Amino acid sequence: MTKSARALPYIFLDASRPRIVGQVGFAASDPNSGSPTFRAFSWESRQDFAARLTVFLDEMLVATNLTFEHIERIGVGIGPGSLTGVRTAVAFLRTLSQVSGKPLSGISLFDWAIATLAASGERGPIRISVPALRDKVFALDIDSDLEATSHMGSSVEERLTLVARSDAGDGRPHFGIWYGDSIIRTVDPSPEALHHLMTQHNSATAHDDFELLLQIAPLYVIPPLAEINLVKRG
Amino acid sequence: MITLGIESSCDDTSLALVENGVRIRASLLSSQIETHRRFGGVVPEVASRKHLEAINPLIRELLAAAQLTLEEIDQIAVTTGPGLLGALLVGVAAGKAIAWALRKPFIPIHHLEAHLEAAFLAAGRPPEYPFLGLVVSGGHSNMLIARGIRDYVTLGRTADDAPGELFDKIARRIGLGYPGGPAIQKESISGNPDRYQLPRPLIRRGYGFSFSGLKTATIAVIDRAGDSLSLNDLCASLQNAVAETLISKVGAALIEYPMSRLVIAGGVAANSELRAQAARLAEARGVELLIPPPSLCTDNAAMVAAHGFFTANSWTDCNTLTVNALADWSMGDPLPFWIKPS
Repeated sequence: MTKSARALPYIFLDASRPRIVGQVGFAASDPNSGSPTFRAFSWESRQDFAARLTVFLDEMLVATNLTFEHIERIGVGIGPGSLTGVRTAVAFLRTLSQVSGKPLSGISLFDWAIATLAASGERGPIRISVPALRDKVFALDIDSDLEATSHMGSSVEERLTLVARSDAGDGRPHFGIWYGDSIIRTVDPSPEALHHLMTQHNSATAHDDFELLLQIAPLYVIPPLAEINLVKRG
Repeated sequence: MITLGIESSCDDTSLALVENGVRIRASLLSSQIETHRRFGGVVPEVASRKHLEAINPLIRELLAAAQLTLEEIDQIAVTTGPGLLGALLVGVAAGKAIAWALRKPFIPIHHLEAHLEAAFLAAGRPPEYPFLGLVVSGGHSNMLIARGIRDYVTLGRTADDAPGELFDKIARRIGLGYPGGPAIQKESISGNPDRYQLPRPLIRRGYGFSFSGLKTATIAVIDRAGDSLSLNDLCASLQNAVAETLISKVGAALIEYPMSRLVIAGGVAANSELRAQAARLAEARGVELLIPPPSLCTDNAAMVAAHGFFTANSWTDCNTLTVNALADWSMGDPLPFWIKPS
């Protein structure tokens, strides 16, 4: 395959869930070759995610016949999810972006799930959520058309509301990211949707400007317990 | 040879560039003291978040301060343990990214070994073995014989609270805030160290330490004294008890294991009473005493970079990107490889 047929390669890593997800893709592909424009990877997460960080990247690059020099864009899952997993991935890939000069995209699970729903033909308005403690969920209500909704990144924390899991809101369809029940329909963020976010919307989310790069940070939906207690104590 | 050091094991994010293990080209530190002061101690999750906020700006500032480019860095040394796991992981991940992108060696460093290195770095010379070492900080109190790089015999460690932790807890109890060590030292200046009788725990029983009993005894003194408590005298008495406990054990070790060099390091080594008692002991026994200046006693990346340089010089298997961060890692234990390099 020629270079032009596999233009703008990106590499992505997400550690927000028990399974580590990686993906390598290309913004452009040779329509005659029949080659997929992306390749998804996943690994069992143990306590050794930090030990295997570079192993994951090497494995993805070898499998796609690329070197890091070929990569033009980096992506990282910013959660919400495993605090340690997301933070470690962000520290690694943000520093990689800083030292290599390759722009970084921070992809939130909300954006990823919304893109998945849009690709499946779902229209807004919807409620989308992730589980919280004690039968509650962190919910995000999307009023607009899903195709037009993206890149909520750092502002998404402010738009989340903590509601009872049984709260159906104003009757709009309620989707749970990687979970569900009789009321909440499960949405599994897809590799296709991730590819869409990493390629179609990359100009809006990928940063090589240093100040903007620093804004790519984990979505800390739940504050540390010590902070909660401090607020309670006044 | 330029070594980049990264330290994030507790509440200080620090980066440094050290030349040939003995010359600090630049050293920067982002302290979280103000953040943790309101909690009365370090909150691990908060510390991890602050490390992530600090590390990328520090990389940029460090290179600017040293007037070096990334390409001029020869190797990256990172504290991989022991410490707060979430905090360690930020430094480890950032260090691996730099090493992997630039194809430079990644050298995992033991935090306490690096503290000992600080004493030699401050003197501008390579480490010389053997020596008797004492590392005392907020999370550790270890006495050991250092026979070489990564070759240590631990004589004793704390069974419960470390001395820095004791200072933090007592300081919080008497309203001196966090961190406790500097506050207690300041209060003790005009105090009478003999005013309050405090125990010297395990003083003639081996080389292990236990400071929780001293903490309980100090709290009992505080409660008994009530309004008549003299903070100056209490702080002087406590500081004296801690220093005497530590130095008496060092003195005993020097008799059982005669050595010509004594190294005391770690955050508590900045304490003036401990330094004074150590100096008297060293003079009486005719041993060379090496204690870093206070700026190199607390956590810093210069000691990590310096130790990385000498570790890389001594060990051929020290370059590995598959090492994990470890909250618990005993000095002298093998490196925690996930994949043993071939």
